[in-house]
Amino acid sequence: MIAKGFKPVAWVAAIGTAALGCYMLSLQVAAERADLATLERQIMSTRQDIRALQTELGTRGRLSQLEQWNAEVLALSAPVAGQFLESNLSLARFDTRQRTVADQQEVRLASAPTAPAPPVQAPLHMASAEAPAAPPSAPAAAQPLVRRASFQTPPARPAAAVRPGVVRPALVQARSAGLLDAGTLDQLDDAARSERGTEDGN
Amino acid sequence: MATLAAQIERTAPWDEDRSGLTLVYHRLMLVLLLFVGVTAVIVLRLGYLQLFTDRSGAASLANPLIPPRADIVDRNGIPLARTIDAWAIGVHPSGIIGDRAELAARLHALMPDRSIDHYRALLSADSNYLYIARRALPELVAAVNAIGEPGIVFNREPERLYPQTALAGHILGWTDMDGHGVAGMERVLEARLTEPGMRGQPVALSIDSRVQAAMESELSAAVASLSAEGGTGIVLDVATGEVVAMASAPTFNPNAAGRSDPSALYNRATMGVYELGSTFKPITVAAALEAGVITSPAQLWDAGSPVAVGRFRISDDHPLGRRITVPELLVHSSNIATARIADQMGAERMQAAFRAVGFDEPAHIELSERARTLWPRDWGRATVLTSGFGHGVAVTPLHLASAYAALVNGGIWRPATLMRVEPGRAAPGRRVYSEQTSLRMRQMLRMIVQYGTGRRGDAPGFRVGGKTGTAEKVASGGGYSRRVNVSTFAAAFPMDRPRYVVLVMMDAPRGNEETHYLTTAAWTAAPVVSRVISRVGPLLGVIPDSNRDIDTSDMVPLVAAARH
Repeated sequence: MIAKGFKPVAWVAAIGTAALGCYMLSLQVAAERADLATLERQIMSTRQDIRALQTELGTRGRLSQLEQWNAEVLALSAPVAGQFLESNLSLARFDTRQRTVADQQEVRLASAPTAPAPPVQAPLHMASAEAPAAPPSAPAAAQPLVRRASFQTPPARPAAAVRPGVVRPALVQARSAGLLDAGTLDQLDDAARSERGTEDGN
Repeated sequence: MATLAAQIERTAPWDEDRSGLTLVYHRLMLVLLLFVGVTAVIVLRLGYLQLFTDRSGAASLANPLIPPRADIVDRNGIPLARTIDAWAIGVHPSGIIGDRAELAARLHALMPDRSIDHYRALLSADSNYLYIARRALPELVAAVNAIGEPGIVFNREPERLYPQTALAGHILGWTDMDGHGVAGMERVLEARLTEPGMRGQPVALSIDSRVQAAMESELSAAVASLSAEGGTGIVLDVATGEVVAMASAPTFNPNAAGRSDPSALYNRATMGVYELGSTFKPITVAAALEAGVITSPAQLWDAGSPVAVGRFRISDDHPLGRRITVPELLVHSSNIATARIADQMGAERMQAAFRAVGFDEPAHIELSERARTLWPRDWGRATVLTSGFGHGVAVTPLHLASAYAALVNGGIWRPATLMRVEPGRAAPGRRVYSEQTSLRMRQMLRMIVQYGTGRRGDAPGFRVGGKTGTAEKVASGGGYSRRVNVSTFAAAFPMDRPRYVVLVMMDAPRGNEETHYLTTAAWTAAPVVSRVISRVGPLLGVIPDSNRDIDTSDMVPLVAAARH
């Protein structure tokens, strides 16, 4: 009963609230718009400031002023013919060092790492072949094989340059597979190093 | 009171009540409607305002980023002329409250370049608004504001500013107080700079401000050290005709053009008309090669004895006393041999040769500050002979620069321009010399610098070629003066593939100890060209290279000085 009596009041309140909500919303929009306009004006005035500052900077750093500073402080001069290089060749011309024997050895050493590869190759093949059969005996088997490989090196030399590409992955595989333990590999490396030493010596 | 009571009594109480109530209701209703109506109108109006008016649009009524006058920039976009908002100090003389005499004294203390009387007259003038100072610095504005006189007002006004001050002043020109261009490119480009749709876009000139600065500084230094009356320097792109630099000394500051010396406003590069002397010889030789008068560079010309023309005798400063080849003629700059070539060419062909490179017309450039050349009316034998080595025909330095561009670029003459030319958009020009002639001229110009009068114009590695020219200046009283010269060095570089013409002219240099008090082009103008090329070559993309040069091997045997 009471609710029925208050129905119009409730309606009025509801409509009032809705209208107020709408009004608030529109106010909100208006405020946002005003903010946007303010921001745009700010951007505009900042751009104007940038332009003014650029002008000021350009005026203070004008070319005649720069030249005066150059004359007083920096004393820079235009580059001359000798300061320009046309190609890598003309750059290499500046390398006036005398080539010594050491330089030449260095050059040979750079290609040397490929040479010791063949001695490693033989044990690897053996190791991978033997692996399924007797993994624990691998260190024992590797030891004599290295020696034999060193004997075989001289005739195999011409082919050495071609092979390393094939060999390297095998070595990596062998290491990662754990077929040869660390001690064996160290021994192999030692052997290879000693071999390399004899090679360089002669 | 009694009548009223009687009246009430007369009518029935019920009726009265009812009719009175209805009336009140009606009136209430009317008032209510009125309120509702007014409120509705207000609400509708508010809604309309809310929905259909765009308040953000108010900010962009006038875009302040678009200047009232477009910027002028150089070919690389460095601003040469801009419009800024500057402070202007004005006064409403009728609105002054304080003591005028005291105010005038205080203004004079702040701005001493005008007298107290001037300020007093200004403050008591019968006018609504007068300027006290335009383009005032913020410090000055603050100081005047501190006086606290309400009659003095401060406004921001657009002002033309030339940030590089005196740089390229003769090219840019300046604007008047109302912001209209009155000289230089400001005047030429007036319509373009003020066109509403284009104001936001800067106008690019062909000038390279770095090259312009180098040219101006070297030229001014030389003019000062040689005590010359003036000088001019031009750097011209041979392939497009673009003027990369054009300097004229003395210079002026376009920011205060009105306050500069009137003689400094004179642009010698386009307004100065000079007899440029021996720099004409390559033009004569090229024309003779074209005409077939010179059949081969090895052809011998008699430089042994002076040529007599009427009452004149054409002679050489350093007589060689023998027959010389064409490269020797240029290397030693022989007047006699050139006169003989001009003689064989004849009046018709000599005129045609000079007309071909535009010597009979005002300089081809946008500027309105340009002079007519002095073109002889009577082409008698004396005129023909002397014109061959640059006397009798007076042209501007810019004319000569354009002609040299045609000499070295393969033979195409193009008008000079101050507007940046987009690649491939160069003026078609007209063919003046054949490729072969142009090649020969390049060889010979290079040899002049290697073995001849132009040695001081060489810049190591830049393969400079050029010709000196020392002309005697017409004295004020008439007749030529031997001591007063116009010394010119017109050069191009690099000669194996020419890209730029560099021309320097010194007007009446006096010389100094360094030049042994000589005023010839070799001692005055050529060193300036050398220094300018050394400075600007790398900026213009020409890399000095001492291993490269134009092939002159077929010409070297023809020059005695080069043979050993």
